[in-house]
Amino acid sequence: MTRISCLVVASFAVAQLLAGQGKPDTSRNRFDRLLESLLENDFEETHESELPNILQELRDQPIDLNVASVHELNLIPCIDPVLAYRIVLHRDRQHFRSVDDLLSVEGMDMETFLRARDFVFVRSEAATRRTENPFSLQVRARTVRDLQTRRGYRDGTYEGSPYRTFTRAIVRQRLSGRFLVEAGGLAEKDAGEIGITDFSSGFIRLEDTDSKTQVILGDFIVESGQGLVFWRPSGISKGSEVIASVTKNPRGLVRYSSTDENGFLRGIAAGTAVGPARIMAFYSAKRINATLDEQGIISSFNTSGLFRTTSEHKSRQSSEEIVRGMEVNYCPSPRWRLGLRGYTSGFRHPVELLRNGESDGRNASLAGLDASLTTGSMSIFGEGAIDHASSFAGVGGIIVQPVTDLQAAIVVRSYSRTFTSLHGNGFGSTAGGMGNEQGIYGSVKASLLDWLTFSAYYDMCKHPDVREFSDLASGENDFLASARLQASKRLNLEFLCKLKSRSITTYVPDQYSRTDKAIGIRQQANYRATLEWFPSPDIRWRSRIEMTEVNFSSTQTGERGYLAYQDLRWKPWRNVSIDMRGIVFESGSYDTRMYEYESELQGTSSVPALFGRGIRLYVLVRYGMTRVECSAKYSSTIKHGTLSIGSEANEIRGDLDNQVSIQLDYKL
Amino acid sequence: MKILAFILLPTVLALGSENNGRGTKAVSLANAFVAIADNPWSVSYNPAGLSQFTSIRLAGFVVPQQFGLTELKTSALAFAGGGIGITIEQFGFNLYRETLLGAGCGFTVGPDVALGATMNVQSTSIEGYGNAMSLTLDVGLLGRISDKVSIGFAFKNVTGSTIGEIGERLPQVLSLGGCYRPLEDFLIVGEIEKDIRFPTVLKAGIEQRILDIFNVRVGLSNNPDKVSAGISFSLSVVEFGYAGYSHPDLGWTHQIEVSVRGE
Repeated sequence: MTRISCLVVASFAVAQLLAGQGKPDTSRNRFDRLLESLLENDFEETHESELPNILQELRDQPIDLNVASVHELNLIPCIDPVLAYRIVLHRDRQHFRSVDDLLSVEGMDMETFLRARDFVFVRSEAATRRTENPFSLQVRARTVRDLQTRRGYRDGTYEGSPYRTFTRAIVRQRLSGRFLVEAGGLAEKDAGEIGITDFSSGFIRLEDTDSKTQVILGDFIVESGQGLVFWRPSGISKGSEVIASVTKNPRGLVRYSSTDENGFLRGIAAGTAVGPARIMAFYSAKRINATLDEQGIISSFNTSGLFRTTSEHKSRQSSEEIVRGMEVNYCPSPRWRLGLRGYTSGFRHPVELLRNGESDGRNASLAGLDASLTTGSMSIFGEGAIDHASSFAGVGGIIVQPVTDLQAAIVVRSYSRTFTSLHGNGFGSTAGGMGNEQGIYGSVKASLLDWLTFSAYYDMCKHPDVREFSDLASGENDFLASARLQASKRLNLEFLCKLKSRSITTYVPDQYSRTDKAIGIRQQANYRATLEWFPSPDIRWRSRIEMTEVNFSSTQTGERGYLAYQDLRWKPWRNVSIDMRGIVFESGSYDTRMYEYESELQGTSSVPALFGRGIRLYVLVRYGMTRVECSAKYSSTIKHGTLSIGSEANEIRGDLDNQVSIQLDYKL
Repeated sequence: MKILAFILLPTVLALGSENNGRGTKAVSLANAFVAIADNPWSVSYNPAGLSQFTSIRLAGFVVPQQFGLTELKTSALAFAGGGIGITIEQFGFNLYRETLLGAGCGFTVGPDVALGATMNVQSTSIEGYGNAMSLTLDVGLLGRISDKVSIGFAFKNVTGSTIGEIGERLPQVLSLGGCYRPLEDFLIVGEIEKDIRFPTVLKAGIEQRILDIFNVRVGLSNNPDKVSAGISFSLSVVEFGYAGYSHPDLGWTHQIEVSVRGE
């Protein structure tokens, strides 16, 4: 604890020394709120862990409103294709003189404007707003430490130290008006791993901005179409953004500088523009983490990225994947776009997932075609893909905005039972859950009154074959409705209801006392009420009460859980912001767990699942200046009446689980 | 009688000394006081309320008998002024005694929001077993949404402090409440309180000022179901108060209070 205290004090002192003249970061609150609104309605285990980095990069490299394409504007999370198209139409009539002109675009409400304004700029403003420095450097260092000792450290199961560390540096140099060189590297170590470079990643990127040509050497990812063929490691389909989230916003070829240890490619990639077409090709040869069985067949991929124990080390870089791919996007006008892409993948060892009567499981391939058409009142989009085994997957949808205050969307998907996408992540019932799914999604968002916004979605899907939690054909229904009331300029009330039913396999005794499989229904309901109050620009008060109820039809059993929290975000001084939250939760078991989005160190996100009976609190302090930001977080969970928290090597003796995180960001 | 008191002690402790209430105004409003916190006892209920005092306030109360047992009496003194507050409280009898010393401060962090914290030192002594001390920290928030509506939040024992050699964790309690004052002489309060060891408690109360110097209050709470009521009247700078609450099984408990307001 003393060492951590010293680290905090030292970090703040260093920050003070390095700091230039302080200035208030007025966009910080807006950025945090956007991130919060996008992530806090996750009721699932998975969440969009990459989103903080993506948004931060978008904010650091804002889009010029007077030259951006529909596709580029669509990268901003709160801007759907129809609105993006309207922005371009507005610009064709009259160029933007300032970002505030966005408010005169048809369909742009104040909430969307406030969310989007930090991601766009107008060139004429640039001289005052952004310093065109040919050289930039970003360094981030973070360390996280559990203050309680887990069993794995006591008994030697975990070979490394309990510190989690992350260090990343990205340097950018503009060589002349058109050429840009960017290079970056990161080193990361999870708690329990041995060296601080347990995972390392890096890239060099060369760009010619005039010809829109770029070459990446090292680590990169590809995002394209609707995500059936290529997508980043994480991604959510459904959430509080019931309209904008239905269509994917691909960034194309992107250098990789994140901590997911699996979902990226490593090699060389190049892309260029030829007239209205953009062409990209890549070659990747990467060691992969996989579990091999006795016959040398890859039985599963290690997606956790954790290598703390001897057995976990066995799967580390145990095989290799070589991927060759390319993509062509044709975009002759802002209205429509066509894309064709594909890849072939070869593994050093056979993969159980890919094996069938005709294939030994060493090779896979996938090709996809996508198209989109956008007008001032609707957008139609879709992608189809076919894999090496001729299995087909397709997703398509439409977004309509018949009047300014009403939007609706429908998305239909059909992923055949055996469809395999190794590097994709399309729209589905769960993140990354492509294959064996047919479903339809409908959503609506309406500003019924000046002070009332209503949004809802309903998603219905079936899984014709076995999948997790269900050994038989199964289905899923998912409904979310939220109403946001603006009681006054400073006070908002939000009510949310989410209902979800899912088929699960249960085992029931038959008349001869034999165990028989049957399909049961698991129904879950979440109800949430939130009060949000802004007594001043520097303070946000938030109170929330949430209840969850889970029922199992097969056993006629059910249980309830609830969560309540009080949150205060306060900016006592110009450069300092403090986030505090106290949470009380009570649930019968893990089934009635509740997720709560927490403010985190920049570039990370945290949506912990709370279950059992307990109290959680955290304090996050940020000290930001022109070039340096220092942040520290302390969080603590006390689970009442428990003798230990966690299980196996992760077990903590006692009822207390607390953690300290410190981060230093430097930007030049 | 001492033996009876000792037998009842676990029940009384399980109810929590918070349920006993501090100050007649809070007790008569079923302890739904986190969104009001306008007297010196806010040092115990919601330290953010200490920011409201521009003049000195001194108060003392006595609970001569709890559930008819003189052994379970409580007495306390509190001082508030200039944003700080101090309280000293004693509960129990010679076989079991709790003494609590609390010091807190409250300050405004914006035009309508106040933040506060109280540090408590608690000493528990059991005859024949010795005594143990603990240090706890409470934090509170108080917000005035409009002239008529205020909201409050308190988190008691934020640090999750423990007591004794076996490290028994002291209660951690979260309270969230609102106060609505539709008329100048009438208010309604509601509060939700959670001690993680027990079921959630819902509290509600109303206060009516009948004359400029006379107030009547009633309150209701559940888990266990309790009814409370009280009055207060002022004579110049001195205010006298009475409050009582009934436990469904253990009967009535009464409290009297005197407070002095500095000019």
